[in-house]
Amino acid sequence: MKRFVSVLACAVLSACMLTSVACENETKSDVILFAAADVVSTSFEGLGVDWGVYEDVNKLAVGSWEKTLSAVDRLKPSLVRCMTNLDWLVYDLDDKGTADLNDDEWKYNFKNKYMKNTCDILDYCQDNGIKVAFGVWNVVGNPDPELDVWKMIPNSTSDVRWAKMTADLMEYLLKNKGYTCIKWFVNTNEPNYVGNVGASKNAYNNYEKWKTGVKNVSAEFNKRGLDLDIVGGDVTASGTGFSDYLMGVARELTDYADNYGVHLYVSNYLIDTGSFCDSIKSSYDELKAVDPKIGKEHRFIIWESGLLDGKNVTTDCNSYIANYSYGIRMADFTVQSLLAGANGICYWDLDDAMHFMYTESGMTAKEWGMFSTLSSASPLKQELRPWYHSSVMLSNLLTAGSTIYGGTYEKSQSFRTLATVSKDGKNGGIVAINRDSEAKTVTFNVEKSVDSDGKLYVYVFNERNLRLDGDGFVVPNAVIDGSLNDNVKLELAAGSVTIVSTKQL
Amino acid sequence: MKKIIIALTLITAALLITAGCVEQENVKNELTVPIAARSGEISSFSLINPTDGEEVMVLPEFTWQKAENADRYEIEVASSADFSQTDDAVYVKKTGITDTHFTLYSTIKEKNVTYYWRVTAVNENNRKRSDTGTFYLKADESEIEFDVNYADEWTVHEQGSAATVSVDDSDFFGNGKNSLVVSFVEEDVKRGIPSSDGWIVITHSQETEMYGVNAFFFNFYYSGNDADVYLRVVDEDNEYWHAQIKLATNAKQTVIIRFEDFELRTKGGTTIANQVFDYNYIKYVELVFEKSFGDGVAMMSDLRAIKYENYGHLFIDSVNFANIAPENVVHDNYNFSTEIKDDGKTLTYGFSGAANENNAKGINGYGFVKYTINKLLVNGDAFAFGLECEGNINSATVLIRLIEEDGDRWVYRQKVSLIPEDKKLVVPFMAFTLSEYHGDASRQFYYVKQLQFGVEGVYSTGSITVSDFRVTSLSDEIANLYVSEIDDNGLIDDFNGYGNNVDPYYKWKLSETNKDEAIAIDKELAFGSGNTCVKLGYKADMGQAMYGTMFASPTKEYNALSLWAMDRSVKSDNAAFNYLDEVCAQMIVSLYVSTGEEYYAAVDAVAKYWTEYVIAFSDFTLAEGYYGNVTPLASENIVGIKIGFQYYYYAKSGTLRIPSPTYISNNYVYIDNVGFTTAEKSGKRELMHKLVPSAENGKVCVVEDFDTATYDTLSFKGERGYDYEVLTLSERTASGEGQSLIMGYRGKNESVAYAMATVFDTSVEANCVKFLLKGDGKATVYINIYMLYAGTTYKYRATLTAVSSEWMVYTIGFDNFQRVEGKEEIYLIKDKVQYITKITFGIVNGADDEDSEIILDKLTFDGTLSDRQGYKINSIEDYEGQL
Repeated sequence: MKRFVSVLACAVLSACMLTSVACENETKSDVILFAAADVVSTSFEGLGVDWGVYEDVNKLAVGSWEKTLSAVDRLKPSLVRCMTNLDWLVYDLDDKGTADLNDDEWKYNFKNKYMKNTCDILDYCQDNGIKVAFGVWNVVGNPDPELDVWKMIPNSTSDVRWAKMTADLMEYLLKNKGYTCIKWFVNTNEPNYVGNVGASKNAYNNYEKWKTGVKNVSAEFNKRGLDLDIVGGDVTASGTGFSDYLMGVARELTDYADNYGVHLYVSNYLIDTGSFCDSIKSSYDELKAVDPKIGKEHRFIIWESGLLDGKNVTTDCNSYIANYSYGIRMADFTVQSLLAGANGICYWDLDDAMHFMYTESGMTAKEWGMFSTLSSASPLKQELRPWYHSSVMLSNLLTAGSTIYGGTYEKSQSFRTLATVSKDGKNGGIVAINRDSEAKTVTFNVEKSVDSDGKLYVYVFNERNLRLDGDGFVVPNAVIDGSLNDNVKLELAAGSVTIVSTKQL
Repeated sequence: MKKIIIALTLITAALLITAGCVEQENVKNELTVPIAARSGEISSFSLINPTDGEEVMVLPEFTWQKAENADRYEIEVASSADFSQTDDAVYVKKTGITDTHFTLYSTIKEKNVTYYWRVTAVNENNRKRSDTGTFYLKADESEIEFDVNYADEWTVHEQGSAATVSVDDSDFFGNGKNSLVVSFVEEDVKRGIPSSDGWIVITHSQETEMYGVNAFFFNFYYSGNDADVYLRVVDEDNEYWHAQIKLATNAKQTVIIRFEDFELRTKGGTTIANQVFDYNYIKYVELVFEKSFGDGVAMMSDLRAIKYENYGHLFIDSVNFANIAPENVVHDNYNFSTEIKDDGKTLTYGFSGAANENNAKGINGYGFVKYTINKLLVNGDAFAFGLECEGNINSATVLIRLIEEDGDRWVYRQKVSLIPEDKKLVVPFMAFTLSEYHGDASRQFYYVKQLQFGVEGVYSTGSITVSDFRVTSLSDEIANLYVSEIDDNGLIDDFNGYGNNVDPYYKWKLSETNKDEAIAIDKELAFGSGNTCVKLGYKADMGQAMYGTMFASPTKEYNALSLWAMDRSVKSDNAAFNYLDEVCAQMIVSLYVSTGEEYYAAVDAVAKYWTEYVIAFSDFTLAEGYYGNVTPLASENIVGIKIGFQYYYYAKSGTLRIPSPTYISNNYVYIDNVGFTTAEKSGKRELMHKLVPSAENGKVCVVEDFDTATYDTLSFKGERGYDYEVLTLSERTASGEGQSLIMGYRGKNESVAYAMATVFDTSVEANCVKFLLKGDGKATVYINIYMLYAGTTYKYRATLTAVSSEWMVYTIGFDNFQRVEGKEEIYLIKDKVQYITKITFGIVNGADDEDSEIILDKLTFDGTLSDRQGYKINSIEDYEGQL
């Protein structure tokens, strides 16, 4: 009996050990668990796109606006950054013959094609619950002093007229037009990028002037009861963009600006090696040291995002946007940014037709978009580009209010992943990026209970595996019964983005 | 038992293990996601829609049959059958399609093209391609309207002059549409920036496909100073193509410009690509104003791209007189009658010189029969027609008058005596001269309100027949157009051999950059007896007026250009120009070499009297824009010449000013004997002398005393060319010393006319003409004084009857000269002497038909006539040894 007990104990122990080893191996080596401890963002504003006022709608192909809306419908952005140009809207400056800028008067034209296009965009955002950062590219006037009648450029946004005219514009949009979708005001684009005198409207700008402008604008907004916050910076996050503007916001403007707004265009190398995440995290942590509310009440939002490789400086186009690899890298960009703590990302940009490069020989489209609605564009450029589809997948999955989980796994240059659970806990998904040249089998598990409808939709993005329906929009590669709370075992194709979602994207 | 125990133990262990696993499975189900594609042989399949060769207006939904074992499909659409992906080819490929249908997101702008498409079914191991299908993407070829309803859609070019753009909704043109209004003011267009003064560009971007259309149509209105206005478009490869809008100032115009009339703009660093007007796709439409000095406004409405052929009813290419009812005959001094023959192609208008209610004397006047046209002229640069005259009307002039859209009236004068033998004429539009202006006085022969056919100078009964009147192109009608032969002496043109008025227009091409360009053969001011010269017009505030000809063959070994020139530019009578002292033409002579390079030389102020200019080739400058290995200016390389004029003026301070946009109209420069020569260096030689007060008496100016004259330098010459029009230098003088001039004539024949061109210095203070005359007791002598003032020729006449056969001193006060040409308010007074251009003596005698003569001497302009007696004195006094 003693022997029996001994053998039995041994058998039980053996069985227990066998079981234990199996689970431990599974957990440590093959299952990536997204647990509560892995949360990287709870103040997530979602993903979006830069959808600026079109510089010339007359260049659009017939019927293209409907196509644009159908593309945005499917993209379902949570955020839109919409920039306009006040030069299009103000005219007839009367300086009263005095040097006092306070008595200057001017007129507005809110009935032209630019405002019509503005309203077309904002109507859509308002109807679809999209949060908008609305702003003005630059101060009013001509960079060439000989041709400049406004003389606003030297003082930039600290010019007393700036606050008045931007408040007039925003009052018109919020009160007259009712665009409550506008949540933030962008006090000019990239104020830290000064450029050259005579060519750039920012040539004389600096943080102090911009800060004064922010305060003036904010005061004017408050005076008029406009519920708007200001994007803190909207700067390129390097050099003075970080040291002056973002740190300046952290130190002294958090009462005015409720988010740190950065523009990030990065190299493939930074993305491919995964070091982009560390890079952002480093800046993020520096800001956090000054402003502990960053990532929570004070969101960190990348209002412009893109990749530097493939950029032609002369034409301001990126020839790589037509490639699947751009979509994979932008997905990687997204994952790394969110893992580093970013609370939202806008992709630069929606449509090639929005912005132009002006040269002696004419104007050429800045090709950064997910498609082109220019009637002059070749059919190939008009088609939805691959990175539109990867963006659709991400944007539909990573919705505003979701919790983002970083997951626990062995760090690798070629693999990144995150999971998300929607605010109501009914949906969620996993994003897995395999940058390796070999397929990789990984099992995922989301710890938090996701009360989905029992279906999982699997999408794979790369040139070989992307699937489109007859209308050219993405469809899942597979649909299976199951839950994110199951161990979801996936073979991740080489060089792919795989998304598992509890809903169709 | 032991075995049983072992077995139990193992079973228990297995159960425990199983239990553990079951417990684990309940917590985490393991799901393996199958995303592998299908495999196996793929069946053949066919394309369904569009059917092969189907004509479609927009890209269709592509559909195809399902292929067995297909996992996904790829679709390709291309403009080439081999689906090539070259830069200029259309190629689209979409992959990963799970349905058996697909709609492209894109559009294709290249229309009226056959496209090819095919589908490839794909699975894990195999691919199967369909046959290639085709479809024809057809363009919408209806008219295209361009929006002019929003001023904001049009931007004013920042580098140019300022302008205001607005929209007028008052139905200004009566077409039920809004009008774009472009207005500008002088202070804005003259900002002192040479490159942009008067240059205004209004741009509307509108990426537009234009198929099946070949012209622009629009309504246009312009009011302002003379300006060049262009409609400009930017085509697909960013080239700027422009066509000038032929302005009818202050008139509501209908403008149609064919695409074929657009020219590539190459100045200002604009894009040069394929140099083809790719109008199937345009990016911008622009209005461009050049030289728009001063206030101005332009309006444009109903801008459309059209099919030119559909607007044929707006055009006229030939006149069918039967289809147009003649208007009332106007200025009918001649008892007009009209007859239409040959299905309307021939108009005969008869007349008589008998007196009627319009013309009591029945000997002079003019008359027209008018045909209202109100149509655009088809493209052309000349009218061709037959012209025959009956009756004794050799001295008459046929008049063909055209009224433009803005009301300006232009006339072509054809002397009956010079009608070619074949009775066919080809009259360039440029040969029409302005007879009356109600608009901008610019030749705008693209729209005809009215054509008028008339006659003047008729003294008897006759008829004129005009047949097959049509618009044509000179190049289709005239051989060796704009080509000159250079004679053995290097002479390019002495302007003596032209038969008809229009002939110089066949040899000399006008640049049409200056609205006063015109060539007129002139005898009156030509230098030398029996000589003719050419009178070339230009307007001050426009581009150079240029006259050019190409050479039929290379020249000899010359090294200089020679020409005679005399400037007759005049200062406007507008008080605004009082600050000017003297105006004069700048002459720019350009020589072109065989490889196209232009060399030019300028004469800054052409002399006011005949002067020979010799310009050595070494003083010519290579024009801007030619670099590198240029062909040198050597006579064997020279293939053409262009003579241009623009305006210079001197302030009273004597300072020479640069060309200024100051309005002076009807300026002329007289040119003669253009040719090549040999000269060591440039220089000039005065052929005439300026008439100045005499040294003895500042109020007396001796015009001509003939004492030192020779036949080579004789200032007087016969103008009519009759065999009895003979001049002789004679020693028969009143004093018995020096020389006089014998002027021959024939009784009962047309008057002779002996003329002397003059140029008076401003210091001459004359109020009468004084001369010695010895007649034959029966002749009537007409003394005519011609004056060119503010662009108008004036003619004043004094008449002496039964001129004494003795030497007599004649003193004729200016007031005794009657004006027979020119405006009423301008008188021949002492302040106007400087504008006198010619003095003529005409002689007639109705008493007999004998050859006779009148002797002239000591012709002076005199300022000593007593004011107390007024100028109304004809003094005829015996000669007493002094004049």
